[in-house]
Amino acid sequence: MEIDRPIATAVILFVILLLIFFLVVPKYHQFQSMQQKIGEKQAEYDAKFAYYSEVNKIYEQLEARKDVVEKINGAIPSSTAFGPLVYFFQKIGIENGLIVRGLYLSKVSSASIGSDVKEIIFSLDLLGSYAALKSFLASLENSARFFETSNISFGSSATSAQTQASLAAGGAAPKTSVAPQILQIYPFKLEIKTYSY
Amino acid sequence: MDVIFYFVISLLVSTVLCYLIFVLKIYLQGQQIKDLDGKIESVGTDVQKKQEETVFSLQKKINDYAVMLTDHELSSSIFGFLEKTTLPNVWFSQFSMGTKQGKITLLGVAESMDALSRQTASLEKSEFITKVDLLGSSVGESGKVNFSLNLTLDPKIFGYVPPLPESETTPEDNPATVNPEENGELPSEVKSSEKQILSFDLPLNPEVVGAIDQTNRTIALNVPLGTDVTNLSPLINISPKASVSPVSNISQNFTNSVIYTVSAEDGSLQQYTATVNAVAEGGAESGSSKNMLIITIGVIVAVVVVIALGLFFFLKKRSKNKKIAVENNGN
Repeated sequence: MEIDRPIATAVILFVILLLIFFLVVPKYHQFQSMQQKIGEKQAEYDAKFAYYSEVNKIYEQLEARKDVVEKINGAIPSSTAFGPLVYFFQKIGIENGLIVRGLYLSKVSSASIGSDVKEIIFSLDLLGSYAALKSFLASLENSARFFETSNISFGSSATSAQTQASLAAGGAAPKTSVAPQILQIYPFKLEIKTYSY
Repeated sequence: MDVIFYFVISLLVSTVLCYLIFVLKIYLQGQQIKDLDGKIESVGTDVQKKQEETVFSLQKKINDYAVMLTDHELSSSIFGFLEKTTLPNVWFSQFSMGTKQGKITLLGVAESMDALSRQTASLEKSEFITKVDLLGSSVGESGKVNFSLNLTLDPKIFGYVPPLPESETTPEDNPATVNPEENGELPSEVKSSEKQILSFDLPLNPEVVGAIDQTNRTIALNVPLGTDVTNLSPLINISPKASVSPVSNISQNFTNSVIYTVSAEDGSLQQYTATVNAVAEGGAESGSSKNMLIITIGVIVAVVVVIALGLFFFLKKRSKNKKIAVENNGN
């Protein structure tokens, strides 16, 4: 059977157009989008890999400075435990020659809006000498945990000038009267602030 | 007419070939995406996520700590300041301080009005006091002056350190004489064991930053396709006091992985494997260049097929015509 070539050519060209339009072009678009997807996935992988490498690097640096990290953990503990705090105040009070007459929890609140850090405020009634108070405050300030003294008040209850003189600042008072002044006992009221998570 | 017919047939074959090439390529791309998904999944392991959590939690703590440390006030330094500035003939009987308000209220007794005025002037002159308010004063029966003062403090007072008289300075007060071991610091004789590669970069354009995996001691570098990996000089940054071999900025052949050995000051060693991968620069740009390559190959294949088929049918036709002519001549 003889084929009519011009008609066959036209039919084939039409088939080619159909094939290109319905098969090749959609596949080409699919191929392009897949190529783009590969680029995105590769970028995602590279970014994720670089990110975790960086995290790992920082983690190792932190591990190498474990002692510093421990200090920070000690400064702001992760739980609000009052027991150890009460014990701590009693202990350093005794160590510095002060009697803790009263210890009251005044306030527990968030340190600032949106912060996880809690502010714990204690009121302390202490009895002891001026030197003992200074030593007590120094112990608080040098403690691994953060303590801030927000209020201090004290005074002499006696009215005589001699007793008032006993509260004179140690360094400024005449040398001969310093020793007895420092040993004088006073009631102190302190407001102490500490932090936890 | 024959040539056009054969050309059209060849074109049809080429179209089908193109379609098949795309199908195959898409299948391979699917596989590549699956591999990449697997690789992405393998990166954020449980251990790495735990490390991430630890790092973020510590970062937050460090930030909080830094803020508190900045705001931390040493209230005991007030006493040192008052001891230093109080005149010998002035005594304080009541003390009340609000750190947040930065105010002190003092009640006291001065030997005379002159002593009180000198005391007030002395406080006013101080750089640590911004304001002195004399709230009241009265002469008592003994001739001494009772007074009350309000002091407004400069925040820098909380960092006040009273100067020590020279005679009272002890060796313990001199930081230069402090034994570092007592402070928990390492003596200078202890050699460092730090031996990490901290950064590993290739000075290309743009610069290629190596991804360092400190756990597995591997370094991955992705360079653009076409980069000559046989001659790359990485810039290496290592732990202080450590050394690395091969040294930084020396040309290496990265066709295969290269092992870098870091030696710590104490002599301990650590090896890192550096691998360079030639990858497309990513995104649509690489996609279009690859597409162009595929299309070019497809077109070349199509042209070759068209020419081959055209030639084949042309020669076949010619030989057939010749055969007919020979048969006609024979008859």
